[in-house]
Amino acid sequence: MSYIARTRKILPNAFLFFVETGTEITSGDPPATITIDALAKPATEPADNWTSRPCTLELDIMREIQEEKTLCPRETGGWGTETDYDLIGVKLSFTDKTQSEHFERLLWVLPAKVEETEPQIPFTGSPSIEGWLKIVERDRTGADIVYCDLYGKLTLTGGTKVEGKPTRPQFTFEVLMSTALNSWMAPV
Amino acid sequence: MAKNQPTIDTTPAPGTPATEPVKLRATKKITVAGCTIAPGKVFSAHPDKASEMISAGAAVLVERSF
Repeated sequence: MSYIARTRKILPNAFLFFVETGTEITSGDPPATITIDALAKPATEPADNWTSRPCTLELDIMREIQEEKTLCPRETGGWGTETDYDLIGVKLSFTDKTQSEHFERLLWVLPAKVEETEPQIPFTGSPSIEGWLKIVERDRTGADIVYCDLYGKLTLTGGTKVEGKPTRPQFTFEVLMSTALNSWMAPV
Repeated sequence: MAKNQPTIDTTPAPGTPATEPVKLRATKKITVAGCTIAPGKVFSAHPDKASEMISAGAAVLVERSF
């Protein structure tokens, strides 16, 4: 997308997809098997490799920036403050329109994926799910404007309240910054 | 194949099916089975595919699967 197009007023929406670490993908001829983790990311196609997340009502990208102020000598004499900014972490917060398998598993801290009629012992699993999150942002004309793949940990923010209105599950996704496979791209 | 690199035998041991996958470690960013994998990733591949990737310098043998 051109710079000019980027300066237009846009109203992006976002669609999220997830693939969990530990997922095995066997493909190719002759076949090879890949176990998904921070060092292995499935391609966008086939889409079956990715699970569509529920409709995203809000997506907030929160960068944690550390400021460091240093007193440096000025060429004209005296001292002046210089500030360095370091990115030390990124968290995404998003709100779903509906409940999901992720929501139930994280709320009840279940040890395995939710399967219908399959009993589990609650509060014996992990309160986070590790994996790849794919973000596709689209403008109002339906054109994709951002593709972003990030590896990290998905957690449920807070719990849920049973009350006379729909539950809007809110999640936090903490990005693992060290993987070389995190990617961002603006499609042309 | 890199100069002076020894030839690595990925053929299965006698009695082991010829299609028995072998375990490899990626040495550079490559695409395998529709996945992008980073250097250091351990994965399994068919012996033919494994030989191909080792020859191309994209992976090294970790251990035999037998």
